[in-house]
Amino acid sequence: MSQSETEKCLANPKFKQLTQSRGWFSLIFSLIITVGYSVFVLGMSYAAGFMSSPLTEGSSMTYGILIAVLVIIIGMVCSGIYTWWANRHFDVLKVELLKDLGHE
Amino acid sequence: MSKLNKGVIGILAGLSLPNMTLAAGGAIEGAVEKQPLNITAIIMFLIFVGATLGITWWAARQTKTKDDFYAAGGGIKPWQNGTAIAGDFMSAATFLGITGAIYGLGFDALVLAVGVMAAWPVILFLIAERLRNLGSFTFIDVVSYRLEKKPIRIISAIGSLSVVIFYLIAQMVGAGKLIQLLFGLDYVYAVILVSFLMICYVSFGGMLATTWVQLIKAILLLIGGTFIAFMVMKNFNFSFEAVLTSATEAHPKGNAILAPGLWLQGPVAIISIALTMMFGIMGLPHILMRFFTVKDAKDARKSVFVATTLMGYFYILIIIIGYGAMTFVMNNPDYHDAAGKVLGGGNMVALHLTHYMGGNLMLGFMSAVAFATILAVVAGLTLAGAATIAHDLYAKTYKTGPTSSAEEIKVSRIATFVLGGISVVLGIAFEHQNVAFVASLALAIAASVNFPVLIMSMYWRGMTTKGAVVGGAVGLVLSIGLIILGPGVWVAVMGNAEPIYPHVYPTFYSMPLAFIAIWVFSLLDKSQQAEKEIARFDEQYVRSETGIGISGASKH
Repeated sequence: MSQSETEKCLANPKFKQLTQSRGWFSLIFSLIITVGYSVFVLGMSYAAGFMSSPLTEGSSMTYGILIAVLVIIIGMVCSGIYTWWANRHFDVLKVELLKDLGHE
Repeated sequence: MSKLNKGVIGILAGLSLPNMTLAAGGAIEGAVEKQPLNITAIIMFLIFVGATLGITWWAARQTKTKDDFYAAGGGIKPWQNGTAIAGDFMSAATFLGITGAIYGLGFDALVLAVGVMAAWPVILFLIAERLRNLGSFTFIDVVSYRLEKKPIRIISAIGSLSVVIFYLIAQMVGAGKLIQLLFGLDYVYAVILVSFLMICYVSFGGMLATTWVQLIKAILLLIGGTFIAFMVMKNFNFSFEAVLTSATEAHPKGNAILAPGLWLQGPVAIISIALTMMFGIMGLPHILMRFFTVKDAKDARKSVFVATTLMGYFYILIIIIGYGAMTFVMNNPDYHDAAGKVLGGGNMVALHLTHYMGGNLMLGFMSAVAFATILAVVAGLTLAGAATIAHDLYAKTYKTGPTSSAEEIKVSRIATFVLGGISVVLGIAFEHQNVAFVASLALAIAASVNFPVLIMSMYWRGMTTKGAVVGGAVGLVLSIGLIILGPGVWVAVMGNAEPIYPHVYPTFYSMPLAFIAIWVFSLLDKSQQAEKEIARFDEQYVRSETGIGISGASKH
């Protein structure tokens, strides 16, 4: 890629729109996962009492196991939402940008 | 400590990785009794080997250029690639090791599953698409994109090959013991057989054969796992809570299996393993290599989605199987010897449960799948190692001129044979050693060397060659050094009474320090070369976001 082509792309408003929206999307989703995982890991480290307590009196389901399963499910759901959104929005924007730049 | 716990702690120390560590545990420690020949398992295994060799023959006919060899010509479909990626993680270590760990230690073992599921979505959001847009065959292509080729390729190749070799040792030893247990085959023959088949798949069939072997195995394992988990749930009228309640009644530790504390002691131990799991996965060369087998960033994204979904599903099965085994295996005399130990050690729990639920036929099926899974994983590892040697070291570092496709493939094949030979020699050499630490080393190096350099190269404009090389070296020395000073080597191998570094995993210190070193030494680097490298970031950034100039885009 030539210098001028890089500059042309950087200056294109669609490039900014693409990178900014995707950047925010990725950041927020990564934070959701990281926070979920941190709750699990820090809960194990510093709040073992809470992690061991049952959801309802006498139940075998503890908060710890619930959080573990939730982190797994949140990971699957967030991946699905990101992929769905990126296929429908980011890719469309990218195709338009590539057209502007003369790449098909 | 109860006998049971001792066995399982062995597994755990080694297991660590989803992927490989076809861990150990009872199976690795000490002598294993050879089992009588298991005819069903052998027949099913022979069918698998026949089918995969057929695929290899077919793949070999399609493999003509280095793009074909390293990346299957970019022609793998996202669902296939995603299933193969999931297959890399749904290994014998996961199925046998994590199940055994949950069975012995309950809640703490869940970190091994949750860590993987925290890593994959983040790989999707931050790494997968950029990696595909920037690289061609290995993650080192991406790291060296705008940096000085030689030093950065050499340090990354050291990181990459260390991970591959350490994993291979752990795999081979685990494989030998497991095959001895399952099929009644001699350890040495088992190791040679695994190595021979692996060399066939990789050197003739390249990435295409390696992907298909992994794909088929992943589907078989999902079918088997679903069956066992379904049978467990059926026994409890599909109430997971009833599974847990019954488990606490069967397990000597009672309610403690539902809470943290039976295995990991203290925040540093927990956070170290949590960091190793999450970030080590992002630095595994044989996994990162799979992103180049699809045609573009969009397909890379779809592959990760497929992989994440399958893995999430599989880990939920594993949790059900692990807790379910407590009810059906723990107090069942059929699966214990006279001294009350689990037959075959902690790794066999999942297979005992398989036998309980599905009889000899299902046991034979799952044993064959367990063997297949070892083959598939060592094949992927060896291919990644061969690509690093032939592409990153031979073609891009050692040779000054351009290298032809045929020459690179030839070097890859030689590298495959050499790696196969090394793994047999090391597998035999380590037969009676406790190799648990080897496995933790592999993931720790991936988290402390490969991951920091890779993520910074994609996201931080200011990284220079000097910063990357120093940072990678710091991560490498610290991760290896702290493991040697830790309980795995200093106490277990060298026989000292107390470890100098108290934790199994070094990542709590080694990973952040690698990042700091990259940052500090990049900032200090005021050379002209550094200025050039920083100036090239814009071009790399545009390509990573748009895919303009992407290599190997669909030729099939």
